[in-house]
Amino acid sequence: MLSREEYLELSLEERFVPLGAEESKRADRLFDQLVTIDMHTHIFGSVHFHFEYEPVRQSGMTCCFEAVPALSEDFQESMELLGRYRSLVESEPGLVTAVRAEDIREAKRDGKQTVMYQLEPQTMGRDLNRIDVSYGLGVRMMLLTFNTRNYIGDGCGERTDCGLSYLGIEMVERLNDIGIMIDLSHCGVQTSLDAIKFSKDPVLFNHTGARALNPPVTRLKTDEQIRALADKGGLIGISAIPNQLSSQPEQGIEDMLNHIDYVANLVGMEHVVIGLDNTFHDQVAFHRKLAASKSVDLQKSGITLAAGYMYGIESPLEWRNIVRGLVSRGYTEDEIEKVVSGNALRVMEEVIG
Amino acid sequence: MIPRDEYLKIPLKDRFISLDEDQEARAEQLHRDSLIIDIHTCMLEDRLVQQDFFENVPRIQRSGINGFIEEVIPFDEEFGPSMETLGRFRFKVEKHPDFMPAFRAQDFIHAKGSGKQAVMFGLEPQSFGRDLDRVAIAYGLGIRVALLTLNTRNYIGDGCGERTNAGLSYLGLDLVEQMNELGMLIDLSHCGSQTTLDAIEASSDPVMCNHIGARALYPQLKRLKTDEELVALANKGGLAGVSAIPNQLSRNAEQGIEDMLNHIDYIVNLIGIDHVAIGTDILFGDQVEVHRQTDKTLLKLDYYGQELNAPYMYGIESPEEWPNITRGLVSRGYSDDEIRKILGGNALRIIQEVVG
Repeated sequence: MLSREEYLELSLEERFVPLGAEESKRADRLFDQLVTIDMHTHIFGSVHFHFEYEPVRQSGMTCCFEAVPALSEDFQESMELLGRYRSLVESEPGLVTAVRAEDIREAKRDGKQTVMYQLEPQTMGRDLNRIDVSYGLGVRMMLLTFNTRNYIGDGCGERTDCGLSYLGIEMVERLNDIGIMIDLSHCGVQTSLDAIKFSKDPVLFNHTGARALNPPVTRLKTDEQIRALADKGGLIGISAIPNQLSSQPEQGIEDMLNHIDYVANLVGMEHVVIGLDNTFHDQVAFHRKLAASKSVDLQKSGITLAAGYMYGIESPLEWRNIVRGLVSRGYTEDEIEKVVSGNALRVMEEVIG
Repeated sequence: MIPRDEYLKIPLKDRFISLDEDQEARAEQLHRDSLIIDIHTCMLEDRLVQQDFFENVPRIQRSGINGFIEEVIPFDEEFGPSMETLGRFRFKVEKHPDFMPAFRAQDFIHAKGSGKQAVMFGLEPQSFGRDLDRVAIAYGLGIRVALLTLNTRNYIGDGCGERTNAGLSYLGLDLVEQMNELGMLIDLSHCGSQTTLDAIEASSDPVMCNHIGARALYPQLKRLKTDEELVALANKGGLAGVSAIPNQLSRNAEQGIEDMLNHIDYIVNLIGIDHVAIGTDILFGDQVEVHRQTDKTLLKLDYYGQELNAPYMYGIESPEEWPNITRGLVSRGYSDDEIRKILGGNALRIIQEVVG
């Protein structure tokens, strides 16, 4: 298997899913025509701030729903980081902040790209009035927990699996009322099920995969969770983080497509979206650093760092490879449109407007 | 029960338990000579309750106690503001000639010897958030005791009023270790059952439940500790402080010092005389009114099973009536040695062992 450096030296064509000439053209046309939404991005880096506009521009994605990371769960810190991201977006004429579905459609018509904001995880502490503040500053989605416990619930990497606290139930109600999407990607099982139960709005697992395909990784969602979420209209975003969808030393776009197939089979295509969680840098080196710092103990969520990168979906330039992959798996244009934009736009309209 | 404002017009000695001449003398002598430490108080705070420290000093002195562990209550569990509150408390203590801060066991002994009252500082609950570096900061600023949770969930565990009964989180285990290392006393009074049991097991030092009672005597109230928790606590050398909080020892419309003594009797019987202390947690103001107010915000009463049936505790309505506790122990037949242990001997021992 190629090293990451060797892989990045390949041309795009060499990295792409192989398709016949007709299908290749169809896939390209589709990608260019469609609104494309990534429901969990890190274009500004993850824990370490970093931004390169050019790769994002070349990716052609219509909407990056950017995660504002907050491992310390400090409110002020998260708002300052959000402000920093927003000022960069303001300063780039090709980028626009979006707060509703129509903003994304409009940007596509105008040839621009949009950025939306989610808190990863929420930093409300014990003060739910901060929800209003966050909304006012542009936040339209919040992850209830990261991998550990907070005032709301337990993360997937915690030693216990408790459900939502009373404050957690209150928070879900407030988020429903104000119109902010709720994401449960990093939550433990009971917290996820509780949030699905107590939320009046559909909720999301915006960057995950199917636990059935890689059982040791608690970041992936069980069939029970996926079904419960879909039953209430929610969305499952398939990610492309190395070493989550698969524990094999070689992994890539095919694994991502396997997870899409599995979830579509389980609950239907109307509930599948894309949430890559890609930092567009050396993820695995970053994960190694995180593991060493103890702030995010990956072993506690069952992750071993076997592969160095995901072939076929390593950088934003390979986003269109997802559409190629879906074509190769025999999905119709309708189905592809749902996955890359329709489902996300529908739920956005329902929850945030 | 007569209304509280009428009760407060009764001279102190007439509110007290009646004893015969010999018992009276014994009680007086014990209260005067013993080292007395109230291990959970709320006497310096002038925000939450209608009391002013400097006005209340004579009343604190009338209690006759030699030292107390005063709790800083962090609003919203925020660290910065809690350290500011601590600073305010320490300012009051430093400025008053009759008080001195306590950072180790010896300070309590010194205070008694010099006729002052010693104040040790606790956090109720800890406000470290996710940053355990703050434990050392709090220690450096004078904190020697911290409660792991209040009634709800935080990063560490679940409180007794939470809808779930989760144990310690991984961060909680780290926090217990950090507090053990630094020599900060761990208190579990408000924690839920599993968090309490987890912390007792995880801690290499004895821990406290410094203002509680026995669940067996009032099963609906989740603030009280079960036999299982009390036994586990004592098995690892820990300390149970019996409180005098209205409506937290009994749900009767009439309650008072006798209820407090019932809890003391029960717990001594269960885990032995070496593991019981007094942590009154009573105020100079209308405590039941405070509970009524905080029901709307901080501490939702029905989450942990509390009712507000009695307006106050007769015989132990405020810290001023502290001598009545000693009288009560005499009336219940405890020996001098036993009384000295409950009043402060056990508290001093655990402080010496954990804090130094």
